[in-house]
Amino acid sequence: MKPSTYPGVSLDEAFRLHGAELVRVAAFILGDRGAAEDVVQDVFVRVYERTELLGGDPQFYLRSAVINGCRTMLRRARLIRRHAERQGQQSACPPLTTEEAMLLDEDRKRVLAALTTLSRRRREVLVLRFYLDMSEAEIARTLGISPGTVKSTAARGLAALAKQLREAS
Amino acid sequence: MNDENEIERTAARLKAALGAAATVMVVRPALERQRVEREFEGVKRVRGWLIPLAAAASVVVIAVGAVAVAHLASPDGTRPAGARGGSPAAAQATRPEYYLTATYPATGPNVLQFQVRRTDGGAVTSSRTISGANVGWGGYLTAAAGDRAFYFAKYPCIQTGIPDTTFYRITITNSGRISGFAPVGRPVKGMVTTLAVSPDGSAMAYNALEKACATGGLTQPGAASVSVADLSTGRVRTWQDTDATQMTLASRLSWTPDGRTLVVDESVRGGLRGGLTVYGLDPASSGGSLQAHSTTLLRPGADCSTCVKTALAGPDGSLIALQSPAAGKPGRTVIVRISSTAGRHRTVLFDGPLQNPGLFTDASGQWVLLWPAQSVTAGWISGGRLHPLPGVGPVNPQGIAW
Repeated sequence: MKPSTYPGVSLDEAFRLHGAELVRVAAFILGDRGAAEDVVQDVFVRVYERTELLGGDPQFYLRSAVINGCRTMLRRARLIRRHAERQGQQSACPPLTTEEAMLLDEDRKRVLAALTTLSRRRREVLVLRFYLDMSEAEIARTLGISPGTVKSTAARGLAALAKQLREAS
Repeated sequence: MNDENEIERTAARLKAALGAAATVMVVRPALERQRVEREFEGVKRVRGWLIPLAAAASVVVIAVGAVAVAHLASPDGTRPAGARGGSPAAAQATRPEYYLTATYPATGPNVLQFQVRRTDGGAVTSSRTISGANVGWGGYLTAAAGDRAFYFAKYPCIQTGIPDTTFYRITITNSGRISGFAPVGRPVKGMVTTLAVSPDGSAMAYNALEKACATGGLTQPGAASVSVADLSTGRVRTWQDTDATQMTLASRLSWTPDGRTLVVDESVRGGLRGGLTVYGLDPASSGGSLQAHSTTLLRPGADCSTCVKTALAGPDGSLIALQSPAAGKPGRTVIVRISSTAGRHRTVLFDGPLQNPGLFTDASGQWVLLWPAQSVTAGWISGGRLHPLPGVGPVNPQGIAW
């Protein structure tokens, strides 16, 4: 688990520590790199104007803000929804460029593609759990849901993912 | 049923896949604090001189609103014949009487519903539904000037192969009833994500992304391309960005009310919000290079003080633009009218606490619709205020036009 708090962190540090990680989280959730960068950029622009937002637990704030930004983006952009949320119409490896995807083996591409078919909530939970290694309690706090919901959502998400992969193979 | 081992294996595969993807995913250095600072420095400069302009703008907009109210008070309440054989200026005076929405139900994209509503009160005057499996996610609605016609581009979202886009023309009567709903023009290969129709309804301009709907996010591996189809002859001319150094996309198209210029918003894919360049394309030219047949109406400066997210053709050669959040105010929406090609003279039409609205105009370019992302209410701008457009409800709106 990565450190959860950085007291007195500056915007510079926040960028250096979290910028790339947040883009990746958003890309996994949104299924779109450009949209992910927009979301993260919006968050940091907001923080730049109100640096006090980083005064408490900056990592928690940034992650929550990015998750919320992803939700807004998914609600707003029909193109995003079309590309990333549509059940059964997943991309081969949407968060990655063609060049980057070539560096991954087929199984990992399949897993990432299957991930995009899950519901937004399940994607959020699984990405936070298995990319950021967050605990159920931390995920619950970040998403504003109960730990029990996190647990059940993760279990159902994994089951759905397993089913997708089984059917695809 | 999944057994425990399968779930554990899936978890391990997911963790490995996410880790591997994160390793190969190169996050561009553009996401740096310096860039954000530059954008905000631009904001401060813009804000400084926008304040007096905003005050002046409010007077102008109120005056325009007063004229519109006077027109709306006419006994028949109908709008003039408009640009088809008439004066575009005449069509500008009156707020559109009806608007059209295309929506999907919450259950998915198997039913596409078009509704015509009155701008005043939001009463549904007519509706039409297309049913069937996979009628296609999304589409783009636009309206031609004056002839009570709306245009819609639709393509099936398929996972493999490049879809064909079909265009439809929807006409309504003076009383808001749908009188015609039929394909128009020839289907084109690719996903059309922006569509504009000439003021006289004789030509359609569109982009066409030649890629599978469900793959690759929004990234288009190529240059921005714009096509114009003559609806009477079927002739299609295409212009393409010739700058091979960057990946670009024609993100929005709009026709000036006089029909002489096609405004092309060009985004640099993956770029930050400063990446929008706006071209004024001569639609009568023969096709070929986008740059060679266009004038550059707006280009973001180094400090991003002129950054916009969307720019549409406005009245009298102006642009109606949605300022980038970084160039405007984060968490707020600033709509400006840009009256010079250099982008220096800006008049604030609206400044309010909206998140990521879509920007739409009527064919005169004068009446501006906002479709806020975090609200179920769309609205039109007048007098610096957003007036709700009733009926744009919580049902996956796919397009709106008036």
